[in-house]
Amino acid sequence: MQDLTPSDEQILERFRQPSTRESAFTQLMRKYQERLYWHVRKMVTFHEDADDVLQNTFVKVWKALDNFRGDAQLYTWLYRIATNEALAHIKQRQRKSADQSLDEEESSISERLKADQYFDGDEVDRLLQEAIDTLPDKQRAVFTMRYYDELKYEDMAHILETSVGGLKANYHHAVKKVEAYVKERLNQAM
Amino acid sequence: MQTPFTPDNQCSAELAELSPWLAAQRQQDIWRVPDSYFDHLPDQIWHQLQPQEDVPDGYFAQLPDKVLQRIRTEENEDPVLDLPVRKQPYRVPDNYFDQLPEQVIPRARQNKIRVVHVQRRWQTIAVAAAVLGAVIIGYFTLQPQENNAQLSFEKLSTEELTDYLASNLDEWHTEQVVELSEQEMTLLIDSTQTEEIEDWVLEDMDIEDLEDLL
Repeated sequence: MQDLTPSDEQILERFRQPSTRESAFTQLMRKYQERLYWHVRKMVTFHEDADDVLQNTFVKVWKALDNFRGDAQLYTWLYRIATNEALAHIKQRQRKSADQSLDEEESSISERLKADQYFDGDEVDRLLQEAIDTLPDKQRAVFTMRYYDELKYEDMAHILETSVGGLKANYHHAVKKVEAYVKERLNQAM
Repeated sequence: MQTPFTPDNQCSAELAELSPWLAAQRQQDIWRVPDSYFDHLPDQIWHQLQPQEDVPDGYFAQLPDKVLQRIRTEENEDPVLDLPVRKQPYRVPDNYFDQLPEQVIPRARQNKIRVVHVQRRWQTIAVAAAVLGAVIIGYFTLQPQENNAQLSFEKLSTEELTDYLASNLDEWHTEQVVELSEQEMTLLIDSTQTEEIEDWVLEDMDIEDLEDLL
């Protein structure tokens, strides 16, 4: 079957024409919305948060797409914007809960996941999400992209605009911290 | 859905080396999304991208008046309505206040709207006539005889009679007139002068002046 999905180059060409600008952007959204959603969702955990981040991402893409020069792949550029939006959203969420202690924040995430109709994980999965939520920004981004989506360090380096060596160190460190966090909580529950 | 990036086939091995336990926990099917979410997402984003609607013409020019009107309306709300309702012993006919304006307006259009009951009007006139008769009799009785011939009732003005009544009001209370004996009343009424006075009262004197005097 012939793939009718337009290429990134076709989308960008149509976007530059005023008469096809809006339809080109709709094509871009339909092509990348699910990929970006799942990328964001694993970083922010909750669907409502992922929805906010994704909409903000596409609004910024609409405003900035004229300035995209093709120095990187379009999808790398999109992932960069989405990742930055997700991290900004997490910081904002953490500021809102600044008055709460760390335990209360973690407890809040666990309780939300238990009641979340769009999360089917078990206790270990909920603890894993709690552990990810404790990671610093870059470790969180690297861990979710590598652990869930198996991205190459080189691709992550383009998205995060950093070095491969630093990313490897961050990922190794994040894996150890997540494992320790989950095991500790499981041992406490036994 | 797969990412646009090519997966790293070294990833699993790396994780297994770093944390075998965590590698065994990895699941991809724990996340769900609302039905049809991606079908509607582009429309929602387009909605966000639409320019904000301009305010209606003249909106800001009218805004202060609207705010003031609302303030006045809220201030005029009767605070009594918020107080506990006291039980009132009085009642009015059903729909009385609804019908009251319709009853009052036609009467207000009449030239004279003063309400004087007929029965009370004649009582007033009778008493006034009796008082004035007694006053006039007393006036002529008390005056020196030489002036009587020169005086006639027709020459007395309303103002003069009014002044006299006002200055002698203590001596001629209504009660005194009412307490006059039947003979005295007959005398008053039968006298020619009294008839004149009564005619004058009925025809010329304003009923409101009499009511004020009495």
